[in-house]
Amino acid sequence: MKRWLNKKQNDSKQSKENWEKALEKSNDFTQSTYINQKSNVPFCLTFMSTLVDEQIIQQGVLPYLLEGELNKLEDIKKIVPSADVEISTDHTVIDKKILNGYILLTIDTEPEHFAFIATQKEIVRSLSPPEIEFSVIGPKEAFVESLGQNLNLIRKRLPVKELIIEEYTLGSLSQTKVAVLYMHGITNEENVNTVKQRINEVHFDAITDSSYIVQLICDNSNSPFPQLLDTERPDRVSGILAEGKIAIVVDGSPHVLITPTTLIEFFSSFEDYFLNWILSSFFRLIRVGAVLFSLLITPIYVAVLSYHYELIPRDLLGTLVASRRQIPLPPILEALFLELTIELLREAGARLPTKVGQTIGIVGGIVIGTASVEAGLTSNVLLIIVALAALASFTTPVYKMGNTIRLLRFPFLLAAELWGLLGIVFAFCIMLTHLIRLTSMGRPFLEPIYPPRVTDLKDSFIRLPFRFQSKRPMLLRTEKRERFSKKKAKIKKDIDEE
Amino acid sequence: MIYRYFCIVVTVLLLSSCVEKSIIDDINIQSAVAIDLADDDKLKGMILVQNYLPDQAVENIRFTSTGKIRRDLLLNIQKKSSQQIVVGGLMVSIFGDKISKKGISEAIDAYQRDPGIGSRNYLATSSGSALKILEGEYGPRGNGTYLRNLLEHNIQYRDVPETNLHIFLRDYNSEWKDAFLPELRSINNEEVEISGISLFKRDKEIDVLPKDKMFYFKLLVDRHSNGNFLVELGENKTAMVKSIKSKRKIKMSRKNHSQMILNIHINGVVTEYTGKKMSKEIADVVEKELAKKVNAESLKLIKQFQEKGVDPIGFGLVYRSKHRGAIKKIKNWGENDYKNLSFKINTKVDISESGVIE
Repeated sequence: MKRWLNKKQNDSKQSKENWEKALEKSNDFTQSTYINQKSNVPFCLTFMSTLVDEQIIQQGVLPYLLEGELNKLEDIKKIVPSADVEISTDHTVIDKKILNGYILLTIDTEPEHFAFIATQKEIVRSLSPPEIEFSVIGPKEAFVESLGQNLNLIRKRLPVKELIIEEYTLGSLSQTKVAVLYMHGITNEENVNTVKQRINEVHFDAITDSSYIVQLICDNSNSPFPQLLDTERPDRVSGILAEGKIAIVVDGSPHVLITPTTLIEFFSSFEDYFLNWILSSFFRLIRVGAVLFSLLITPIYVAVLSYHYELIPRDLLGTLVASRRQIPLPPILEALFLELTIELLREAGARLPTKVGQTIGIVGGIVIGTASVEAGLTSNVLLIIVALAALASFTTPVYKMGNTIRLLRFPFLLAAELWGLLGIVFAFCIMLTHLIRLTSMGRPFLEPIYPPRVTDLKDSFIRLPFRFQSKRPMLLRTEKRERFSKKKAKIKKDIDEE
Repeated sequence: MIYRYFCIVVTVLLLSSCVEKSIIDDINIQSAVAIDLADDDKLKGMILVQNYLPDQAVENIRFTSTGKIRRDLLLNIQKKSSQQIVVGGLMVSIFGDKISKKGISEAIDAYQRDPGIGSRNYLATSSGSALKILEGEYGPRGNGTYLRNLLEHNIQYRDVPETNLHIFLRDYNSEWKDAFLPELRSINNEEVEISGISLFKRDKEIDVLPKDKMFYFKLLVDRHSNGNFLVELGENKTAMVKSIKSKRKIKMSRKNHSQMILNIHINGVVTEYTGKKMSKEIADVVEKELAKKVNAESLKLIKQFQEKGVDPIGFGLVYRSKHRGAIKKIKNWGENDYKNLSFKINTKVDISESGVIE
């Protein structure tokens, strides 16, 4: 594709109006000639009407061009009050510029020179509170679909010269702007180079969202685990940049990517940093527990009911047997039936408009649930277990991780059916092996569990108070390990104490 | 790579049929078993299965059969059951008095081999036929659960020393200690009680300790005893002492190597006193009286055991550990060295509380 474009550009040297022929086919291609009132020089404006802001042309460009002193192309720099005015002799960039929302200005007397004036129409959605990573306390701003606005949100929070923003253009058709952000002097060069290299190596035609980048640059694309954290919170991004990680902002996507990341980070919500360390540690542990519960409880139910009746507490035995007596299906089919029902509900709920979605949730949850128990298709114990497991899987603060857990439950179920608890252990071992091998931008994904790094445990399952966080994570191998001086941070005097 | 995955999938599919499935609603889980001797010296057994009714009540289903060994018995019972009978849920096993007098080694063998039987399964003997105990109807939660709870709470809070399959097998297999089991007695069709403690020598029941000696027995055997004890103080005054905590330690006397010293320490509270006021002095008297009584009763018990040649307290274990090369030198400890031992018991009683109102 790119080769073909290059070829076309080479051709255009011979017939320079080639780009015009290609663009003319579109209805929004506009070309009109005006005459300057002072010097009577005719000039021609070419632009795509869908990409430019008519108001800027009418108020900020045309009046000056018509009334100003325009003799040669150089003059427009004096008369047009715009910061982004460029004069070029390279006609290969014409189509690119026009398609980026510039207007092309030509004067017949200077056929080899082209002037470009920026008149892009910016359609920016107004800032809204985060929807996926909503937090009760803390900032309520979320990223929007505009790169410029998103970078502004981050820069505003880190107004230092160390914050470097490097821009790339990816996608042969979409020409998506991608910005890589890091802190100079803090972030490890090697990490930055890895990200840059991966981004440079992306070959894809249309990149419409940051999720594309995740899949294109991740270490193992066959893994169900997301290896780049995506967030819609500017505060999280700035906090993480300060830690020494790298952020990738993609134009047109309200989700910013963070790398290198670890498995534990997917269970930490940024709200954890707004709360007292005791509370946030507790909530993090609950989340990790909930995910394990969600992953294992249905398989354990199947395994225990099919193989290990000895494990059931005596007092529970009656309840379980009585609830299963009328059910014609073996535990595995029963569990699959309910799990698939929940999956259907989720899919249907996600596809439908919000209001209908809620109704579907109620219909599914109450009507199908109770009806299937009454009809004797599933036992009510399993219904509770599956509902709890579904609920527990929603506790992950990062939506993509929730999806992974949703999927992982099925191999576990299958293993439980084949081998009982042994199968669950087997499946867990496979998962663990996979996680240990997994890397995020070359850094171990399961850190600090494997490789075991005790110092990094300070912000993993638990979050210790800020005074213990004086060092940046070892995982990132930052160039400046110390975040702040621990000695100075210790001083906590009353004002009258001297 | 594809070949490797193919191999894994094939192995998974082929191996998956090797595991025997037992889905809980398609099996009958034994909750209690009673084993006794039939007239023709065959084993006679009854298996109790709990049938869970939809309204959460439990129905007792009984299967009776005879057989030469325990496995045989189980096989015969399987022929009567509509669903496979599995042993994993066994809570209580009762041996009848006929078989326990003859020796329970045959019956106990299966327990040593079957991994499905939990080691926390309670074993008990019965006075009279073991089958009769399971024939009763005790409570809405099923006989198995009833009997288990009966034993459990008496072990935890009352005078029955701790016992289960694991402890029994340890004592049973040891040459230096003899096993004991609680004895159950059926009163009528709806009541059952713990009537004493059966003392075993190897696999044979030698003697049964009556109910009122169980408190002293637990003091000697177990670490904690929560028994209640009545102390008579003369002048028609009695005090009820509840032991909260007790400790016992067996030592061998340094001077005389055939003397065993037992230190018993009881921490107790006075729960009832028929006199007027419980003063410090009276508490001291209670302490002394109780200590005296414990000393005398325990010594009586030990002497009784010594005469019969049974050692449920485990003097043998202490004796062995204090005599170099005892395992090789001493043969048939219960008959020889044990009979020559003398005992000294030191009891210390602490009354830590005598009620809220002074």
